[in-house]
Amino acid sequence: MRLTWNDTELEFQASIARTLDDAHVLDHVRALMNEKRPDGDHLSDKLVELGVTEAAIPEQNGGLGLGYEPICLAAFELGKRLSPFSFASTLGIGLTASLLLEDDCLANQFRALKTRCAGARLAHLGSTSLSFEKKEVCGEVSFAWDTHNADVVLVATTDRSGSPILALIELGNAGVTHTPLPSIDPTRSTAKLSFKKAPSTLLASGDRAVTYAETLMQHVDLYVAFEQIGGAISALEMACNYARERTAFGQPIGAFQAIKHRLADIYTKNEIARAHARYAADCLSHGESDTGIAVACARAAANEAFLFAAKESLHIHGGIGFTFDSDCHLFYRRARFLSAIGTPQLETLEAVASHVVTTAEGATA
Amino acid sequence: MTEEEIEAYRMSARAWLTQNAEPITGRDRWRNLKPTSERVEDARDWQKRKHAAGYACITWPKEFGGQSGSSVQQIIFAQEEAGFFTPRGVLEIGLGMCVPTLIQYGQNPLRQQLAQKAAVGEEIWCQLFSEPNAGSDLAGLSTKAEQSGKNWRVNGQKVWTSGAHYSKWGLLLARTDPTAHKHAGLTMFVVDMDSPGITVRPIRQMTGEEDFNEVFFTDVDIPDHQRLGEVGQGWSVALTTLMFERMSVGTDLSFLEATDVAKLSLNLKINGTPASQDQELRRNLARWHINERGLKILSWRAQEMLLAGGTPGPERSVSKLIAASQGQDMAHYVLAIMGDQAALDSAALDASQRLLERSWAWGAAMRIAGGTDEILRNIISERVLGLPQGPRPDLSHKKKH
Repeated sequence: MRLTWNDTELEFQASIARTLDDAHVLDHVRALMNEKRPDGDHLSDKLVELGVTEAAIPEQNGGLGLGYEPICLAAFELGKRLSPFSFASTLGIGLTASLLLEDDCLANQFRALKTRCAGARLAHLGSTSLSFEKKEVCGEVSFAWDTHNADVVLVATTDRSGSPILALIELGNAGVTHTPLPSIDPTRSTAKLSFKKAPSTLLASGDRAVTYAETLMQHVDLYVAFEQIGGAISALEMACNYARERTAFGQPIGAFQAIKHRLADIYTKNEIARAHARYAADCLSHGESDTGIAVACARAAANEAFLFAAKESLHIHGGIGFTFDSDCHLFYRRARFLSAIGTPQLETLEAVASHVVTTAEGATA
Repeated sequence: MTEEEIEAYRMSARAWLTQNAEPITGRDRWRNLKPTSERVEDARDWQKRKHAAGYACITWPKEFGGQSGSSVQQIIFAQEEAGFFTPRGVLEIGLGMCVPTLIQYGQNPLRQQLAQKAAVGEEIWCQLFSEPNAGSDLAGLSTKAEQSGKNWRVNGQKVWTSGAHYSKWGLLLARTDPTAHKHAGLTMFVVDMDSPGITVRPIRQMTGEEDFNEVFFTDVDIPDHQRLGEVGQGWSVALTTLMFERMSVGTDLSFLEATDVAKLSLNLKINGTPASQDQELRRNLARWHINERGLKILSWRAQEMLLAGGTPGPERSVSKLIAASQGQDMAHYVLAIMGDQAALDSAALDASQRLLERSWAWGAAMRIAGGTDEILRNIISERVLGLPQGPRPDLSHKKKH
């Protein structure tokens, strides 16, 4: 187990941070918000240049073989700047699926980020509203995210015999209807995807489909968690800066314990979330049996941290925090958006609760 | 140390512990909750055996009774020892805080003699810092030490002194210059607790136990060679002591954990349904588990950083801030589910509920001891987040004490 970052990872993180700083990501997000539109292809080339997509690919396949840690750090740096890039879906689902399947053709598309993957939950294989027959998919995904410029989506369903299926659908194909839904964070898109005999590629079936779907959701949840923690840390930094500058009653408001103690509470939640996320990244890279619960804890802690940081940061900014020109609402919106994608909040908590109760039952048996 | 050496050291430590102590299996974790004062002889004996086996005060130099070992070895042994029932909480203040301060600031032969006796568990130490009017505001203390010939004459009172009644030595912070600014007028001493003029009076806590004391000083003479550091340097010596406290990462408060609450909930009902199936309880179990597991990871990370030669961050402040409140909150939550049974003293309850009782009482205590919740939030916000201090009337005009 390693809970600190090594020099390679830190250098990698620093180069991502430099590039993103030069790209003025947050300025770009403000512009998008003003125009109420999601991202184009703002960061694709840069992420590819930085080797983000190569990091997790094994060396024998021409990648860097660095495990998933660099991807996590990239998600963290993107999250800090509220990047609109569809990171968790494109890398967490698309690239990861191609690695799990050892599908070079698919991998090549995602390595160059020529293909974007929409986010959709891969769960409840038995109760899905989708059907799969002769490689054609019918039904709908009622909520998908990062959809506006996505090329593909992965769906989990069952075939006629009830066997689990993991399939890839190209969104440009006939039989696919993409209905945009208004997103609380206009810089990140949401949509309903309907399929009427939409042609698909079968990626896995049976137990393999179930395992892959679970693993893919772990990647999505962990990368979202890192984005959330990045956002939480920026929200805290923003609130601290404001509390140092803004004066009231003859002193900086950050000198009042009512304010500084609130900031300390944001910090402690962030630290807990960071610890979990780092541990979960280590589990995921080494395929530990602990990965499921580690990712659930990381995701739940990150949900809590970003939602709390964004709401309290806005509050500490006072009335200014409620204006459109302030960045506070960008964080407040993003925190809400991210908490709603991947595994739903209450299901994540239930996964942790179930682990605790099962452990207790085992101990008393 | 190479990976192989570390592993070999770990294995021999584990082998020795297995032969000399009983492993903790989780199921009976709460069994060993005797009050600290009833564990003194056990603690002395355990320390003596550890010393004979070469596992006591590992990082101290050999001349001071240690092993001249590395902090890597110290951490490995502590990690292994945590898996066994051993008498804890008696010697930690002395070996973790007081004697390291003595070693850093004391003079030979005194420090050599005292450190050696502490290392084998022969002499126990207490820390004489807090006073009735100086708790969170420690530098406002008023116990006086006045120079008279080659001695210092001490008058005043300390309070909340853990273990003063079984300690041979005390680390005493006293005011030597009442005309100087508050932080500048302090000096640190080592005091023999058997000196004439010292009265130790146990404080009966709300639990009925007696772990803390009031310590009264009436014309107590301390020879000048028992002074640690320069006259007037006491505050920075005290900060060193508190830094040693921070180095002792991984505080186990022995409070309820989420799985303990889950275990208790298996036998409780909410509106006729097993409590363990209650949605609200389950969400709380998840949140508590996330906190306690997060703190464990933070403590592992701090150990990893220490092993790599780094210094730990503010983990300890974060840890106590979360753990103390959570222990108390969990107890209150279970008590609410227990209904009228919550009115009963734990003497009437099942043995497994003693841990609940401990969290209920000691959760309250630990939100105050060793830095209140409020002081910890000040430390985090001022030292970590760089926020300004609030108005300090005691500092603004360099007010004399």
